[in-house]
Amino acid sequence: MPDSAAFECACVELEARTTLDRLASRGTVRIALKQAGLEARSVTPEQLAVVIQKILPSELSSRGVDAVEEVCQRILGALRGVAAGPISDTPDAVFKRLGGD
Amino acid sequence: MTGLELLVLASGLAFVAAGGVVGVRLLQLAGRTRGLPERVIGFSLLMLAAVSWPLMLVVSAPEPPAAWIQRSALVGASVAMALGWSGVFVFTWRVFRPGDGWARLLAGIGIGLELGAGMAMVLRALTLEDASALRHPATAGLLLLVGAQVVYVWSAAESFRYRALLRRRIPLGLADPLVANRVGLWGWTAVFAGGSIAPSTAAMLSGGDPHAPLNHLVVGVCGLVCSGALTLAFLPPAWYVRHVRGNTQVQVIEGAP
Repeated sequence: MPDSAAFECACVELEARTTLDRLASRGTVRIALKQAGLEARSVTPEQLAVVIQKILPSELSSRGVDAVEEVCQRILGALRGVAAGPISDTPDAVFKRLGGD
Repeated sequence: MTGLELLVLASGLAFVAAGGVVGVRLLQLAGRTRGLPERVIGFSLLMLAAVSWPLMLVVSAPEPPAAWIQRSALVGASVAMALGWSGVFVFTWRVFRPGDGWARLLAGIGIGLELGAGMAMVLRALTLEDASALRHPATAGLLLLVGAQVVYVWSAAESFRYRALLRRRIPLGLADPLVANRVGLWGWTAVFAGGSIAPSTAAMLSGGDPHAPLNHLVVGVCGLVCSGALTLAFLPPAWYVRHVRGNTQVQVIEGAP
């Protein structure tokens, strides 16, 4: 299954705005997603926005990236242009429904 | 009737009640949402709890019933078990791994095994000359149970893996603690449902006595815990919902969507 459009967008933007190469950019975003319990293939723009605000800054700092705040704002800006895509029946959506919530 | 036999009966009745009520409720939900997961798992719970278990009780009653009753009950129970466990395969595949080829293959093999073994059980019930021999273990019955054990292990593993993901999302405000708890309870339901049929599976494999006291204890305890987990997952009382949500801390993220 391919990675989500939101993930691809964030990686491209991170690579363009920093000295990180393609592999390092994708790896950094994947690590941030893993910490948040999310997967590259299913993450939505909204979920990724939270990860970029809460987790990515410390990951970028630990890799010696400069102007972390600005980079994250750029990625968030790029993410706003990503369509949410079709709403899929994720396991949490199914179990939410099964409980009548 | 011994104390352990009463425990087994009580746990069986608890499973019939919990599985039956939750099954009907999920089918009602499916009627409104047209969702496949609720339709499949509601049907499965109804088949396994409200149909197969009471019929198996008839088949294995201390005083064997008339041959035609025994044959009919075994036919009904076999069909219900085969369809019920096939449904659990479908649910686990479609909910947790809809895009993975290996999961589709595993579900296909499991459904084939269940339906094939169920059909063999039906043929045996209809054609075996001596009806009293229907109470003895058969290879088809073992295959039916092995398929069930596989799907319970798979379902539990997927549920606990996904609950771990949701738990990491909760502090970020990206998951509902009650849903994470529900996914975990579904995993425990699978664990203890598997545990409740484990003594029969082991006895069939080893030629041991499924009615040994230790087996009755395992079946009784697992059946009760399974019913409890199922009820808390899909019909949680208000105090339980408050308890789960009250124990959760969520980070507030400024400007987060």
